[in-house]
Amino acid sequence: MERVAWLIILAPLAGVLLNGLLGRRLGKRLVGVIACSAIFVAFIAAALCFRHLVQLDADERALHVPGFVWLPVGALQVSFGILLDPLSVVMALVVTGVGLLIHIYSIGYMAHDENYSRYFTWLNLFTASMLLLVLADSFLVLFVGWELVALCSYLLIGFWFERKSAAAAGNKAFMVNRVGDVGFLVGLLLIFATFGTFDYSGVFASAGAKLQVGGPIVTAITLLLFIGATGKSAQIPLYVWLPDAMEGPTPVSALIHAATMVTAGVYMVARCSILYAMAPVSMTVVAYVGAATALFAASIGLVQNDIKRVLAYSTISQIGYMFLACGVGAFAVGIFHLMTHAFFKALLFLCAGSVIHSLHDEMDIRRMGGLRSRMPVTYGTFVIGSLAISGIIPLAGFCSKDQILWHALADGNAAYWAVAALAAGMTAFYMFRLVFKTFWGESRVDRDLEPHVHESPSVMTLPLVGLAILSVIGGWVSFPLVARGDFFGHFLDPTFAPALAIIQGEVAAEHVGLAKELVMSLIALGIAASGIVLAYLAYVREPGVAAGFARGLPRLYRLVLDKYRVDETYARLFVQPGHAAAQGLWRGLDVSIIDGAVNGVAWIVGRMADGLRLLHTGYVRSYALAMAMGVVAILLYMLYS
Amino acid sequence: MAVWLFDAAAVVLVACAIAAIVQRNPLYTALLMGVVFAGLAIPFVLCQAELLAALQVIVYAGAIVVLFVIVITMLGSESREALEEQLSIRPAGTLCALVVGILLAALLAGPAVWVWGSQRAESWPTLLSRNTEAFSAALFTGRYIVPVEMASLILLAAMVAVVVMIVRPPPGSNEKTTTKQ
Amino acid sequence: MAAIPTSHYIMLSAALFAVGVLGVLIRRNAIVIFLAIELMLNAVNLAFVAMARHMGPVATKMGGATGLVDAMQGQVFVIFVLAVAGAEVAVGLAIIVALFRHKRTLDVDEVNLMKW
Repeated sequence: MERVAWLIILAPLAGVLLNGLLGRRLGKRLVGVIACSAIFVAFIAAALCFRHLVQLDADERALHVPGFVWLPVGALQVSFGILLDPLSVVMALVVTGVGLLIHIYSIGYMAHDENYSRYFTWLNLFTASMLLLVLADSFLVLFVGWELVALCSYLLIGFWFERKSAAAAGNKAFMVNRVGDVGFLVGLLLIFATFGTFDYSGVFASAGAKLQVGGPIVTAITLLLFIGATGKSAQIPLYVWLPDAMEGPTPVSALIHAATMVTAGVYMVARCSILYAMAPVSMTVVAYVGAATALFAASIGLVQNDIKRVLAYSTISQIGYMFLACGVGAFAVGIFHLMTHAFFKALLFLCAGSVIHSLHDEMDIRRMGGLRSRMPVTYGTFVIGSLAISGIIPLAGFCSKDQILWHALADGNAAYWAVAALAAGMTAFYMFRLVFKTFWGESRVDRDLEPHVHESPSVMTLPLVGLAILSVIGGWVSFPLVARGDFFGHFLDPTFAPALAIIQGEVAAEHVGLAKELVMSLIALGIAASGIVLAYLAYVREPGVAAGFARGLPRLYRLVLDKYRVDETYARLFVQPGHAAAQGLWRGLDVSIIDGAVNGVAWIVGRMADGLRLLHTGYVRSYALAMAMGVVAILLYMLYS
Repeated sequence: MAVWLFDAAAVVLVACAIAAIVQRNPLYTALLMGVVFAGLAIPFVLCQAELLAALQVIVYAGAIVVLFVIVITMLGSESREALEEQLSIRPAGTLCALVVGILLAALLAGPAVWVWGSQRAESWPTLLSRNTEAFSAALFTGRYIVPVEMASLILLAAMVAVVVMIVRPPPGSNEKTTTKQ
Repeated sequence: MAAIPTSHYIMLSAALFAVGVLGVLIRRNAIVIFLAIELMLNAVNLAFVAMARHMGPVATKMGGATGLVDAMQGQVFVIFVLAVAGAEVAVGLAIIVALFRHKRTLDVDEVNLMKW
């Protein structure tokens, strides 16, 4: 099992090497095959590990696969290894499974791009890095994966770097991530200072002994780690890079910015569940941020006109749900939503990509419409995805979202539930606004592009179908309200049991109030359904209503459309002063002092040379004289020593 | 008796040398140098180095000076020079030379050497044969044989070098073999 | 016949050497400079021979008989100097002639291509 575990990471790395070094010469077909096979191998390996774990007892479901000692520095022994426990295996399955479908889709989407091999190289590298992140057995290896996925994100967002906006978006993503990483790093250092090791086993086992529940150290650690999570997972206040990241190719948006990288923060919080359980303050912060982000982002998504932007804000919003779940102690539910969200968000993005591809890179929904007859598969799967994300029974989104709402109420308070439910309503509304504006009604497509609208090739539609199927049945591993229907939660039990033990009262809420739970689920379903109906009314029945709203409340509309001008505020507060400081430092330090010193040395050498040069008279007799004087010197020396 | 012979010879030699280097006409310089070279045979003989004295006259005065004279006359009137020297170097040069001479003398003729040389009892004719024999014995047996052969190689190399440098193909002959600048 | 002190020879050698140095530094004519160099070599030869005699007799085997003969190292050195000086004169004069062919002058001050 050990070697199989390593294969999960090494297979995509092999793809990176092959495609990276030989890509240009192998030809497009082979490059695509190599990339997808690498992920497929990783998926099979992950599945084998999963099967192995399932067969083990609950207590033993944590396999440590040691690797090699990476940094033996005196007392610090950092090793590189894999931890196979339910959480990491589930994440690995999600990453490789969804990743495989997206890789296959990319073969079709990027078929006309000349940088084909570079694309697949980075995509494989990203997958390998993400797998490293989730399979790590120590914080340091996690951090390595953390940084590597940030790098791959930068490389892939700015894939079409000849476009200035794409290059800028890549920079923005990396830099905002970096800001979060400062917090993460300080948190890591605190962990090391407290525990003397980075290994999960060392930290989590002695957490109870070394830290006091609710104490300052554990709160500091968890808050700092969470800052990193807000950067990576695009929560308030560091979410601003994700909408810009839509500059990258759509499959990249699907994989990195919907299904995997942005969920790394959630994974990290779940992994550190013990630490968070010991810091109620941090949990509250996590829940608040998650809930606030969910509502905030959903509100922005209501009015955006770029199909990918809407999905981006939707992602931000849904991740807020995941953090909300973790924040109230329902870690397994948060991970569950992570998984289902991966399914339907990837599906939605890939469908959007299908539309964009057929409309020759048109992304404005105001110039779409009436596509459902021309692109039936895309339309059908998009609707399934929208239903899933809106939380309609019995699709996957319902299963996870309903549990989040229930736990927000039961383990949290009514305010959480209200915010989450409102956001859910908004989600349903803006998703179906997309459906209706893109696929229904009169075609507003550009005259020249009209005749070329076609369904995408099967290499792109088959993954769509696959993801649609997963969006339907993927939630059935943990069906709410059904007693003993929580296979997912039971599987993940061993990972979160220690944390849950610290948070008392969890077990009690499980069985009490089943009727209450049913009622709340029905209310939530009602809210989602009303969102869909509202969208239908606004965009199909009375198309002018939305525009009327916009005209009636112009200032509010502009504010939301401009994303509450957060980017502009950040620019004025941070970017411009930073830029000015950099300019000043450049002129003062780099040009004046450093360049001055180097040039000064050169100047001195030049002046010296100018002086010494005069010795070269070319005048033979002066040379002879010099020799004679040298002889005199030697003779004097011999005489007087 | 030998001492005043030596002293007279020394004065003449130094006088000729100084005269040689202040001559305008390089031909006179060469001839005066020839006198000096030949005159150096006297001290050689007084040191019982008769073979060397003979060789000195034959090689130096007889060959080298002749070579100089040939070249001087070959290069003709252009080899004269103006008497105006670079004033800056003359005092420095003279001073240097004087210093060198004095120091050398002080060094080599220092306390270790301020002694009377060893006495000689043999008469001259027998000495003559002895020196040549001893000299050739030392040269051709023992460890100086290799340098002797090497010296001959040096002479060969010098000959080749001179030929290569001096001999010009007659004008208008094979263009390809003339070296380009 | 009283022997001449070795110091006399040395002083003569030093004087001639000094004259040679003077000649090298003073004159501009390449051939005269060369002659001065030869003078220096000769002075050195004289010193060698004098020191050879100064070293005194040593036991030597010669053609079957053994006896006291003056040490020969100094004189052997002189023969080498002689040979090399001959070679050097030949090559040096060849260089001077070649130079003359190029620049039509024997003035060493004219040969200043290495001037900065």
